[in-house]
Amino acid sequence: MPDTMPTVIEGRAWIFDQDNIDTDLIFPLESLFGTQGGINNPGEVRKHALKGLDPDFAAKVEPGDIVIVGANFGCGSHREQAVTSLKHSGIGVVLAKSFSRIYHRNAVNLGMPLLEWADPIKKHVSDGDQLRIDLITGEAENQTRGHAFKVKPLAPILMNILSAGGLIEAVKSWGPDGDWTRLER
Amino acid sequence: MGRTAAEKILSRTAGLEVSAGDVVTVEPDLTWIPSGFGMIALRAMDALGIEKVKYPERLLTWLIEPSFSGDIGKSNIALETWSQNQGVEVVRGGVPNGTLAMEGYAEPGKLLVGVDSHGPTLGAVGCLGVAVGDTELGIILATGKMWINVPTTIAFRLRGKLKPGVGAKDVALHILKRHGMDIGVNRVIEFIGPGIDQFDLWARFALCNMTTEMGAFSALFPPDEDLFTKVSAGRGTNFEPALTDDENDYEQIFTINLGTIEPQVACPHSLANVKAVEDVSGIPITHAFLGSCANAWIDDLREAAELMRGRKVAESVRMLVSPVDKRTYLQAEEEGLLKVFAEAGATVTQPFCSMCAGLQGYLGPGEACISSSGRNYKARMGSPDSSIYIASAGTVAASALAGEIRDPRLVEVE
Repeated sequence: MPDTMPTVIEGRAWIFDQDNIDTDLIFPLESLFGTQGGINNPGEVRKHALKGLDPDFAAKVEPGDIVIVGANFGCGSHREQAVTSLKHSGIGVVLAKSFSRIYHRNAVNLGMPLLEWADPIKKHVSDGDQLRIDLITGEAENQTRGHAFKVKPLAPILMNILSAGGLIEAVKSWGPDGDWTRLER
Repeated sequence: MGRTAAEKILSRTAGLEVSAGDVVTVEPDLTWIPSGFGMIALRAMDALGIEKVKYPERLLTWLIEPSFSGDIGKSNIALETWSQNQGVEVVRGGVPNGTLAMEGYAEPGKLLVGVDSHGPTLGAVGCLGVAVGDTELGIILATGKMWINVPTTIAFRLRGKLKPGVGAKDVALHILKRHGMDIGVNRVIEFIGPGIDQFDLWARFALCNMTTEMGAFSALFPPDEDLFTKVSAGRGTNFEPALTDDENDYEQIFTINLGTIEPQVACPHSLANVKAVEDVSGIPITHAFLGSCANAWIDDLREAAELMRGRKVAESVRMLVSPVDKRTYLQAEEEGLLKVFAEAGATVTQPFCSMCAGLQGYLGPGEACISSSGRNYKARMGSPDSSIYIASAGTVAASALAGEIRDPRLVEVE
């Protein structure tokens, strides 16, 4: 995983123009109870991604696709399926105006890329546009329109965890008793 | 410039001076693992190849509800066996977070980390409660540490006098209406000012709990030794609070005039969609839920029982009452409150998350629930075509009697 996580994402934009998209919309409780024993099974979990917003999303999305949302994405529960369902759908990156704290933390720790947009994203992207995003620099290109724009790159330390494939992989490379002080200022 | 309470707590647990904006590693003072999702944490330990918990004496196993069947029931057994092998203390029963304080595990000035997003509830006793995901919990168990993005702190200065019939839930919903669901993201929310004296321990739990829905990293009241002693369960816990040095250390201070707040209702499907109760009175309901980690404390049960004593829940309404934990349940039993609910036609359940986690009382299409819990997300209690209205325990009780949303101040108390 560490060597294979792409840092340049190319895919189609899926815009859900909504603030405060909560974890029950991303991965409904009914899906949670309907997948008993399967909540950690990637093939099962992915079927429920964003079900509360678009019941057919999982069937339509393709690897590398880019989800674009408003402020405070992922508010609500700590439940990881809200992250893993998107990750296992092959989503290349989620772009939000902002993320809930726990969602952001879970995504970094579970190795699912996410970035914030600053400049109003709808100036640059329409639903279905083909995009290319460099996760490290934040350089973005709308290939449908032939137009460049920027999103906010992740803090380098968080990018380290993400590009390792998540915190488990990162801790394996640092050593559990190793020096985590690389995370400091 | 001084430092905030959160910066002090995180500096101590990081072993170095930290300020807002730093990313550092800290060692939590106490961590808890639940059944159910907790099994994901054990898998994360497996994935790391680490069998033994780093600090078993800093870990609690929390079996939220021993009566669960199915996969969660099996995980109760598996986790209890695992805990015995690891030398980890097991606690059985109660909705997490506030209950950790009730049982004397949450101390002022400490960093307490667990899954379940409602960690900020512990701010009621000045304990910094922080929520993480299940996989990360496993990594904390294995290594004893976690990375943390040191937050800034904002304060709500409470002033004025609460009107009769208005409580912590109404104040929280008022703040959500005014400031939105992301005012607390990457921030600690402190409650300060002369108005906080009107908030007893239960009200502090309720208000801190609802900062979760404001996106808060955590929440803090300046700890009150009398209130803390009341709940420390004779465990001989320490009172060593961390306090913010100076008001200049807050990123921002917002003043809330408590005297202007009316009973509030958060309408479907957003906690920022808040209206005064008089503007939504008359909306028919099919369910009423008095429960959850937000408002099922003893004062909530008293408030509801006072309105319901000798009366009946409307025939069109199914009402569930789930006290937050065993102590609250027993206290309510002793005061005769559970009898009041049962005689009114409500179903009293064991202390657990119940309707708020979709575990009981399914809402069908077109049905509507008024609830003292903290979340009204679409489909949270059942069908995507159902509705949830969030309000205080008093508003839930008044509405349950009426069969429609009702201002609790209009119910005559004998």
